Amino acid sequence: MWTEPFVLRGLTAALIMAVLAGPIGCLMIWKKMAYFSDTLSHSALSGVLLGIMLGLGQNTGVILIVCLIAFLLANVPDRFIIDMNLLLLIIGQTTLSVGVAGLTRLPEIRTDLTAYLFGDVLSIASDDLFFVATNAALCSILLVFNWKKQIFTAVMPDVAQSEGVSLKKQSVIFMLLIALFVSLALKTTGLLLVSALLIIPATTARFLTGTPEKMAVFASFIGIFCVVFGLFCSINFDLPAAPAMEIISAVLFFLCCLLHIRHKKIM
Amino acid sequence: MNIDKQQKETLIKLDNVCMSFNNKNVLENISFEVQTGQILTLIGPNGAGKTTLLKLILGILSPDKGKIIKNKNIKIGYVPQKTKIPVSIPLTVRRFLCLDGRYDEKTLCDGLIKTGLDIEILDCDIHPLSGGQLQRVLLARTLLKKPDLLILDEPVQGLDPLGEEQFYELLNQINRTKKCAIIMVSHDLHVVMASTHRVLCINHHICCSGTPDEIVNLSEYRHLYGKEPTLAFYQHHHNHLHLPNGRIKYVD
Repeated sequence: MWTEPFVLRGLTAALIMAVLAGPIGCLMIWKKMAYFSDTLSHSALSGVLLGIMLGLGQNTGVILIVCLIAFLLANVPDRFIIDMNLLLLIIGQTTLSVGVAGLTRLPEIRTDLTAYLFGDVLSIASDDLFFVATNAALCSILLVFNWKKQIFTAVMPDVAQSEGVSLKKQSVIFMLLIALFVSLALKTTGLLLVSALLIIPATTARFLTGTPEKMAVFASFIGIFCVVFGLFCSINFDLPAAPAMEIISAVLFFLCCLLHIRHKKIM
Repeated sequence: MNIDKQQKETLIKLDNVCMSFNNKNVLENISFEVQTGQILTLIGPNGAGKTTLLKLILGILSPDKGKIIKNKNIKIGYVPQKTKIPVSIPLTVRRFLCLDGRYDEKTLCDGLIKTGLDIEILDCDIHPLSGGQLQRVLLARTLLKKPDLLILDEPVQGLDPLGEEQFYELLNQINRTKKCAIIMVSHDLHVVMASTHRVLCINHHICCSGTPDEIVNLSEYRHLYGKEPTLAFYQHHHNHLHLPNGRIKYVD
């Protein structure tokens, strides 16, 4: 079963996502921007609509709209009277609604809506896999070259700025990272569960680690475990893959949470 | 002679600096300079523009009018006001010290010792540290970069009086041994009296400036704080010292 090409493709895509989700999810938690991926993933549905309508293809449409919204959000003034979380919620809900409303008008897409929302990792095609791989390579490059600066700005933004780190540039890079990641998720975890893959393994890793680097690596490993085990459940018990992965990561999280509260420290 | 020359060098010079937020003038015509090895204390009421002034010097903000001239290759270290490190970031003291660089074991240990900390805390979690310890760790990190000018924004906020005194003593030591100039913001002139060369009293403009002794007797200063400075210090003598790490050292 595991050697079937479609399973291998799905597994590869999901593994790439899990590895990337570790560090990116950690950055989101540290910057208190956990809702950010939700907003961007919801807006991706509008991107699909835009891509189809303009004839650019879904992937291009998604990247376009996600980057546009990321860029707009990066330019929200510092002490804007509307809280960032509110903006995220409003934009996310609006773009999701526009996407759903628009896509139901396109008869050939209608049946695919569930696949967009909850993912269909086992139906990934070869060229989708190529898209996932190039996108992931770009994310990794951005991550490797900005990792220290990203952490520095998350810990002490003022000091980082005084020592020559551009907050603006780092915030654009951070949003670009999430935008790229979300555009991947359309194919694998589905739009509604992107945040689960980003946030839950990283949060679980917080219980187990003492430095930012370890937390990122642990988050990736937890993600890999959830992906493999989730796919296993999906194939053997005929469950949808993405929700199975999510449930497994949530079980791990609550387990660590309980252990942490009872013993104060696991490791 | 070489040392003489070095001591007189101007590190940073502000020339008629003005700054406003939302059409409200926060700073007007601020001019002063800081030279090598000098300790300058900024005092003034809340909202007087002290932190804004520091941010201008640091280059985080840029002035609406006026010039800030910095010595070439000047290295400025900054310890911000009341730092809160997000608990969601797992961070050891070692990793914190290496936030933007790599240092070998010896440099890190020396850095901790110089700021009066135990080397054992190097691999400890940074979040449970006390306010005083954290402030010292912050200072240690800044000093690793060997700054020529150290900028501190209310460095003793949240410390108990004894901690305050020790922290100022530490700053004095750093100033003496490393010839490092210091600009700091403080609320209480009386506490910093002994450890500052010049005081700049700010309330949007420079209200008055001079040595600490001169300042307390100036009417502008008294006017700014609304009343005669009436502070009585309760003095008592210890037969022991409280070290920053919480240990007690007995003096013979």
